[in-house]
Amino acid sequence: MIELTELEHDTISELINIGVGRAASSLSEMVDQPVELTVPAISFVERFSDSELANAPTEVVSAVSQSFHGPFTGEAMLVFPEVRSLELVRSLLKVDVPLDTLTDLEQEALMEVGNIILNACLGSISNVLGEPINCSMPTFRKRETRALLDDDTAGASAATNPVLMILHVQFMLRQNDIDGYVLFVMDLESIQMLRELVRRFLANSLR
Amino acid sequence: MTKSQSAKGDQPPSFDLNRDSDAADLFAALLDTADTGLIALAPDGTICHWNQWMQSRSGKDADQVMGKALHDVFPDTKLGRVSLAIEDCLKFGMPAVISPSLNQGALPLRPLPQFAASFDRMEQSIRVHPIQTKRNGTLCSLIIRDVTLAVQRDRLLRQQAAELADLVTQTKRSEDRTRAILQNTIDAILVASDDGSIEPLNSRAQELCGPTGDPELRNIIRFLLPDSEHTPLTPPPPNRLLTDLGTGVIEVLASTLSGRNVPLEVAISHFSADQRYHYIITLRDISQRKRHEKEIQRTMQELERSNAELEQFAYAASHDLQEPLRMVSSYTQLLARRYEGQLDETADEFIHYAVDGTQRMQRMIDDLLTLSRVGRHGKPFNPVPLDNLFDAIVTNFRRAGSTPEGNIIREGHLPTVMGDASQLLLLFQNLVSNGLKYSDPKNGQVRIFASETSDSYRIFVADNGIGIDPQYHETIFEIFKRLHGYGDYAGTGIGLAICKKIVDRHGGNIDVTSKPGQGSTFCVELPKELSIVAASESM
Repeated sequence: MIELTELEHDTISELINIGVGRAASSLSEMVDQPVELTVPAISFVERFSDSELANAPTEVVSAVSQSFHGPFTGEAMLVFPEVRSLELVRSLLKVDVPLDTLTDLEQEALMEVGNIILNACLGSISNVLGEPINCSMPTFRKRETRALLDDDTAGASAATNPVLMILHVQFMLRQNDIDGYVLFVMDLESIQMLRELVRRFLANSLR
Repeated sequence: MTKSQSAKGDQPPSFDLNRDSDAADLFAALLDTADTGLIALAPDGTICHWNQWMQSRSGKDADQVMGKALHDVFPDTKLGRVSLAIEDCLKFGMPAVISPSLNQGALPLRPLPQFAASFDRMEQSIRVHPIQTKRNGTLCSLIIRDVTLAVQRDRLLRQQAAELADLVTQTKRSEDRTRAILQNTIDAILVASDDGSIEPLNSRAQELCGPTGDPELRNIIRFLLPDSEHTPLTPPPPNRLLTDLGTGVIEVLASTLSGRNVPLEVAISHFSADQRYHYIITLRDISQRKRHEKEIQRTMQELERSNAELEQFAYAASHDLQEPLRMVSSYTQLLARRYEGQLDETADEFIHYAVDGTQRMQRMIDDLLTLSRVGRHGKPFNPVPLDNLFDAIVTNFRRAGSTPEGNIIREGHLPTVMGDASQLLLLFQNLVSNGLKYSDPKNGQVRIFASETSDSYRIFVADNGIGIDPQYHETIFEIFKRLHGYGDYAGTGIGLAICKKIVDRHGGNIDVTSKPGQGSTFCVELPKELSIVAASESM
């Protein structure tokens, strides 16, 4: 079980929110319309099946994932139900004529959106904790929720039972709000390292 | 690598990647022949590689850009997504995807000539990678792909999708409209194919052919279709076909299971579709019309009956009146002859009035008999040359010596009309006689002339007499209408009534134009083609 004090939990939450705030402002600028991003909840689960996402196992989701290496290692993912991902891309791109599925170009745009958000989260953590993190290029996947974490190339998370840090993210756009998730899939060792780094950071800043 | 190392001792390889110069040659060639743009940036953000592709698409040679920051080469990228991505890459080692949809023409590169018309800039998909080196720290690479073609395809696809969606909407709208028209039309519409199937198209048709409709109706329709060789047919019961099939108007009787008898008019048209012949059958409910037809028929019969009765009555009355009148007339005339001058003057005067009265009454009865005969004893219609007819009239007048020579003038040729010669003679004789009667006896003149319209002849009888006040133009044709006292102008007041009756029987029309003191012109208009009623009466 991952045990975090309220302060540690709040600190991680704060770091993430700084990150997504930055991501939102760059997105707003890029699409020339107000985009707000909030992370109303962060939760930790030890099994993917315990997460809210797994409630609809056959729902098709679109995910942009980036693996990261550093003091803690794992995979970060921005996940949307496919329908929501279509909505998001189309509101961002102001598309007049929607097609039934994501086109190549829309898929790449979603990848960029994921890339900006994930970079921002990881960058914010890395920056504040003072530890560099290496990230891979984002990849795109579309599959049923229950297979979301299968056959991953990020060895660390696949090898052992992963622990998940799940951020519920909310896009607030002009027309509608779109809910998605950011998943940090790490092994137990990595998550303990993260907690350790957070504690160290707190100790430094409270001194 | 391992293989080339083991081969090294035996024979110097022609090419060795461990040799710096060989590796440099290879990598330089690879970079320059790549079909993507490649830029490498040093940790301080200055350009340290700019491949051949970049040179040709940006129009800037490597020499021009080496050692400069990207935003110095392309000033408009200074605050954009590319610069931020480069900064994140160099500072935090973050990779980046820069998509064409979110960043149109991220770098100011030229599109290939074939796209120049629709694109100002090349559409690009860019990857920003951190490159960790042992000696120089973190470098940054930009890989730029030209995706203009994909963007163009995407635009085209969307345009076509939009057009398709428009078309679908339009088609749907027009279909809805057609369906609404079809459904709300009062007639029942069905379509029959040459395989004998009959499909109701609207709710009215469904009503007539559906489960509560007439089970026989489809058979009747099949029987009526021009081409029904494919299926053997049983003729419908004779009481279900209301009109003869030869007349062009087809009327059938539908007898629905809900217990209604509906007379229907059937119209059949056809069209070809899918290389097959189809018929459109329109069934119109003519119950209302049928009711009216019956009503009219009944009224007509009633009228004919009462007319016949009336004529019979008039004839009988005038005929029977003659007998006692003749008695009175004979004896008063006898009185006048035998006792004239033997009684006093007053008695002579009284006897004269009595004789005159019986004579007038005799004329009136004669006229009434004539009037009643117009309807009862008409002869069949024949061609009547009016020139000959008027010759006879003039001769009659001359023989009677009632008119001076040359006062009946014919202007031009008169037509030949269809009619009852003796009645037409009576008609025009009356008109001419009237014209002369109401004129100055010395200078009275009657002109006769004719004109023609597309479907009728008009014969005019004009005099230069006293004329008629317009308020009497209608009533003068009524029986016993007289505008003057008997003493002024002789007559029974039946002459014009006889004229009108004759003209009516010929399916024509009579009217007068006149002003007091300026003469009158009577116009008789006779149709060139006899109407069905007049023709049947003329038989």
